[in-house]
Amino acid sequence: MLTLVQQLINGLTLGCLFGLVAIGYTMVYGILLLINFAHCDIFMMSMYFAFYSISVFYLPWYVSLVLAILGTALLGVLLERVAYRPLRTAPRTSVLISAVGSSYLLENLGIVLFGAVAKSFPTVDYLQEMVTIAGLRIQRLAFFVIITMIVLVGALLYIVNKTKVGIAMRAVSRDFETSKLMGVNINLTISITFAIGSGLAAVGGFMWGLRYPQITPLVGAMPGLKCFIAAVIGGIGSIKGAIMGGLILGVMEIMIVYLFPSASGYRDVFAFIALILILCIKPTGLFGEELSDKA
Amino acid sequence: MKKFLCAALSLVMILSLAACGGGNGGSSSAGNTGGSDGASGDTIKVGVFEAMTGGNAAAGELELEGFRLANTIRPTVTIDGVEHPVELVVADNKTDTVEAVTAAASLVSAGCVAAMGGTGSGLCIAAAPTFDEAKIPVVGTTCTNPLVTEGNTYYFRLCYTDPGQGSILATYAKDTLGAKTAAILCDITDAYCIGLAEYFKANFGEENIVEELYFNTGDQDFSAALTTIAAANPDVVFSGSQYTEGALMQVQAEQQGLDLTFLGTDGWETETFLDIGGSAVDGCAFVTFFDADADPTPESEQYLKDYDSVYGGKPRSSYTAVSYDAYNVLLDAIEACNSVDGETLRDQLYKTSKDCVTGHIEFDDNGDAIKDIAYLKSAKDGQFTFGGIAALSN
Repeated sequence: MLTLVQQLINGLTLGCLFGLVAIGYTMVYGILLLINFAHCDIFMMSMYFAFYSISVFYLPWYVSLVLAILGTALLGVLLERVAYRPLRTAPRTSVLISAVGSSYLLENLGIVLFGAVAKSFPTVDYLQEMVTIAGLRIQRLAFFVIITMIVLVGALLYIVNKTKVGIAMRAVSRDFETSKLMGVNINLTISITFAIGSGLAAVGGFMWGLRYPQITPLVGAMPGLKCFIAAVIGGIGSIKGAIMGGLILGVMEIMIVYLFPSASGYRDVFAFIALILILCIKPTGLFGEELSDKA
Repeated sequence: MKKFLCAALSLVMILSLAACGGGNGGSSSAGNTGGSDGASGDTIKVGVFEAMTGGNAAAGELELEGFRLANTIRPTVTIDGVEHPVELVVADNKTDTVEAVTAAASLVSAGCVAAMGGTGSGLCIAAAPTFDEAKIPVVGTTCTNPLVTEGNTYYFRLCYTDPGQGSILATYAKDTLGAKTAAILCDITDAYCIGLAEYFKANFGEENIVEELYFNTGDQDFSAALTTIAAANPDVVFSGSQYTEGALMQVQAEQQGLDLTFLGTDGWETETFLDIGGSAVDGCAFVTFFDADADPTPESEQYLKDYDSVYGGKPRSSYTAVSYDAYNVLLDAIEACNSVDGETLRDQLYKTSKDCVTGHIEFDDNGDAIKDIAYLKSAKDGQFTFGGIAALSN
């Protein structure tokens, strides 16, 4: 029983991390109908930002987290500016190719700038400490991850549903041309979307680094794919869907290892099977609508 | 603005292409750093088949350090009285079995007369047929799986093999640690790890394995597997893993407050393992090829002196010693047979009998060095510690 609860917590922690990064995929898709394949590398870059500000500039972790968020948001905006905006009127395939290209560019840039050898992500003692609850030993980090996710998603849903920027985002995602005619600043709205998505990826990256303290320029590849799967499972374009998709995928992965230890080597396979199944049975995902809007 | 952007972007593109190119075609010239005084003959090209990027990059870098060290100390080879400078040609196998074949082919087409290297048996197994076909002898370094040399008559190997490593670990667990039960957590995508796990299991007794789980190279989350293992409460955990995954799983075991004793592989012996692992890897144990703290031999003293004079300080890993040996074994063979012809050189390599840094080296019919000892290592306070010498019963 204790093991089961422990496994559930493992799954929820992993799922929250998936969810935070999946939001970036889903927001960009919602607004541009583009699967931003470079998102996983933005996630990777955020870990290096945090790594350098802690290990090289000796900043406290919370300052580094803020810097990483800002830096990554800026990178996301920049990426959109140079790789996607010039292709705004181009066929969708061109933008997709540009996204794949940007992904490789960032990875190789990472190898040149940071080196291919794995670096050790710094530890934060406070978050790494253990708490004992009813016989369960849980790391404070697990709570931190779950609470951060709830707070951030709450804030995000507020922004998207209640603020002017959010209304603009939803308008743009519904109809590009009409919202332009109505005086919505399309470029600004898209930039903000990228900034928010990348910022959340930075939070996810930071906590990912604390939990799995090893970073390489290719560290984003597999988590990126998983988060993309999470976004699709939840219904790409839907923020709630991204979170639910992340949680489902996270808990599913952990439970497969727990319940079928002999199949544990194939956990990635199950994630991809889930992707294929959902695309066959319910392509709009669990929470997506036919005409997907935000949230 | 647009023009500038265009120019900047194309520059970035070119840079990234250059970054890919370094590994892709995979043959960049390196080495020949030593002076070529008195070297009048043609340059002899020797291939270095290593992982420069990907999961094994840190180990590959360490081995390259050993090749370069030996090349600096001994920059030429004498054939029929003519001194030829030796040039190292490095090919990056990217820790990928497909890229490994490409890397081997690039060494062949670069005109290498022989090659050295290989961390990660899976990569060497993939590349071996390419070398065999081109009749290029390869002196393998730390690729421990039997299949690397089996059936490949041009592949030699300096290190012990996995059956030996597996039996030492099993004996160590049973006799020294007094373990009765063990769990296995093994990389299912790495031939080296699977092989080692099998040998460990055979020697430890299959009935004493309480839990057996698998993961893939590059996996980062081990929380589920560790929780399952901890519930079975084994005395030791055999971790069939390379250094990144090995270190990560121990960090996560510590995060979860699990008290597990990890036995690992010689793939762990890198600084990155200590960096990532931190205090979590204290008390782990694995088998390795050489230890600078063991009783010195004339060869090991010379090696440590050479290392200190070129890089300063003590070697960071035993990998460097193996690759240093590989270079010298190969050059000795070339000088002994006065030829760089693939077949002649291979036959000469079989006749090798040489005291090396990592022990006396003679090859058996398979091309495997006949080894009788291995070194046990552990970690404490961010350092590797010498854990004694174990006898090998191959």
